[in-house]
Amino acid sequence: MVIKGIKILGQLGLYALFALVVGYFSTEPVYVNTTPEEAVIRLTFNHVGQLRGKCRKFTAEEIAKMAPNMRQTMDCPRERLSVHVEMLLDNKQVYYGVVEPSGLWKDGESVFNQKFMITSGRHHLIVRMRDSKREEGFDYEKSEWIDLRSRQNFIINFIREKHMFVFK
Amino acid sequence: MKLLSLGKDAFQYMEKGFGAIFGTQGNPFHYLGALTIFFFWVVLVSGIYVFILFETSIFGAFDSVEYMTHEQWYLGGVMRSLHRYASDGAIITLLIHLMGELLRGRFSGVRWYSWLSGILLIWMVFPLGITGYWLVWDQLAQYIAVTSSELLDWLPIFIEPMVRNFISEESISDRFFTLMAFIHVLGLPLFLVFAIWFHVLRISRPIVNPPRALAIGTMAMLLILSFIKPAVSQGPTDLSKVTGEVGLDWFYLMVYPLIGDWSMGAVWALLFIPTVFFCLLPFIWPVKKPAAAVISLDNCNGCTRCFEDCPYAAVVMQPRTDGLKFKEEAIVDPTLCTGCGICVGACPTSTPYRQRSELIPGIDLPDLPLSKLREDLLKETEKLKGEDRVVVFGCEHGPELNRLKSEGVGVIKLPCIAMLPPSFIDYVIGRHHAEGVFLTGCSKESCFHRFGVTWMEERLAGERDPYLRKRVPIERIAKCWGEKTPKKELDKAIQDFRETLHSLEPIKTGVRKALHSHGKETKHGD
Repeated sequence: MVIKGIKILGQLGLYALFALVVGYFSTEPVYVNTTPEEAVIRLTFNHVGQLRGKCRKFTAEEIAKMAPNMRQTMDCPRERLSVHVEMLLDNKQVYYGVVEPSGLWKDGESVFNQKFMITSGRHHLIVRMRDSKREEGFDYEKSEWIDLRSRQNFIINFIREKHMFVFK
Repeated sequence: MKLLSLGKDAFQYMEKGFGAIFGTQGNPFHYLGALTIFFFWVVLVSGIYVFILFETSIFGAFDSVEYMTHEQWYLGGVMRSLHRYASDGAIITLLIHLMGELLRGRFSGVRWYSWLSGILLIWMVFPLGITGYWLVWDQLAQYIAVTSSELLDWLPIFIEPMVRNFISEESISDRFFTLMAFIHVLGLPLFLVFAIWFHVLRISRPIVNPPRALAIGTMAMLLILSFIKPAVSQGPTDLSKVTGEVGLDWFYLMVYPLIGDWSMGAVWALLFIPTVFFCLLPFIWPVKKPAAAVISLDNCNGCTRCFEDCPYAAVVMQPRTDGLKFKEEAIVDPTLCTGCGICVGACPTSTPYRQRSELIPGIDLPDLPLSKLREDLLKETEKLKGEDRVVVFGCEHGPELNRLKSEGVGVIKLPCIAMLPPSFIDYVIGRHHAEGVFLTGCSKESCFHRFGVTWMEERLAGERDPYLRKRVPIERIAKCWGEKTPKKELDKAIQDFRETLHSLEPIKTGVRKALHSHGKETKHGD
């Protein structure tokens, strides 16, 4: 009888232990993803670089070599240029990178997405992008003083249609 | 190897400890797979109710979950909590089940299929849990959505980064949320049910339900926990902010904190390398595969006992091919046969009494034929001295046997205790090769070959063919099950048994004579 009682108590104890483990680790310990002093700047865009080469006219000989139903007059290369992007915060470069065009033929968009953990507060932000053949400098730039609130999710996007960066 | 051995010892001691408290019939360590499936049923039933109250829209999901949690706490809230805690419980039992099978070496040979399908099952269980948290669309869901997307974006499968769906209120899409709900509610559970079926497909009599007492206890525990600590949401999403402190469900999201600290490649490596390693383990681990059992058609009457008893469904019955009057014959699938010998122990032709013709049973093991077993038995008993001689029959997965040998104790080792036909016990005692027979092996519920001890017990009790004949004095048979039986305990059990034998009346010569004459006549069956 005593042994049976001990066994029942033991079972209750083990069930309680199981419940304790499940109950505790289902929410605890709390994970701190960002501290109140931090904020995030997320730089993200889809942008097509300019065409790598210019269109040219096929010569008469080249056209003659083509199948009659496939003949065309212009040769336009599909490949796009890589997009160069730079981000400066308080005049310090926090990122510089070259984003390759997507696709097997390198003829798609250059897709970029990256987040930066920043101390919240007032910062001077500059973002630049180059999508042309130029070797120095940038084609697009936006510069602004920003006030990053605690744990703010600050988005930098590039609006292709307007050819400009947007801060949000 | 030493680490594995230590791990195995630790696991078996824990198993024994649980057995002392829950009893061998209800030991949770013997039903880890069944408990995981039980948790899955709880998740399924509670999930159906939660889904009835859930609004499958990113704009209404949070409010609908809040409603069921607070307004209908007595049913919706409890169901939500059961849904969460049963999912968490499943991870615990699943991981212990995995560890147990690994430590006991139950992953190689014919078990590769169950092992591999089990590993792949894990890759369904975790996404199922993670997508469930996603649907609540609270702060935790926001953290999971962003972090999971960043992890998936590292793989070269999406052109458009998935994370861009969750960077601002304008970017979120109800369509994407509906897709997630579909994956969680229908897609993954459906695959999971099939995967569980595949997991147990190649074993006979899979244990998919825990004993009633254990199921009731587990359910009561989940219910009490649901009332004491109801599952609650962590505040509505706010995509203009990044999540700060989140209460993670560490059972499902244990890897997530690493996603911020490690490179994505390293996180994927952490997930994939162990998966690949475990998947390949059955094929790279050195394992000696015994030769599969073989059928002797001349001695097989198609009685189906081997078919009934095989724990791996390696024996199947087919119509007779040799023109004999019997309906069926047994055939062995060598890819499924582990060479455990349980079929040999079940065969009615496995009798040591056969003297005039060669001892070839209907089904036999090439590595340990029954004729050799009889030969070994006779050699072993010939050396024994005294009035309390004992033959120990033990399985190779049970306690160490060779150390038990002494002047009055002989030892015969078998791949599984159920390889021993009951007629051998009759033979040992009836022919006076020893005064008693001592049986030892794994514990009943954690038998290496699944049902070895169970079948043996049932044969001795006259509940399963082939029975132990009633004429065999049962007091001359002793048993001690459990691979972790302490040496002292086993030694004492044998010593006590020998003392008991000493005190018994000697077996009458007349009985022996009767046994002798019967043995000579026996050709098929005992």
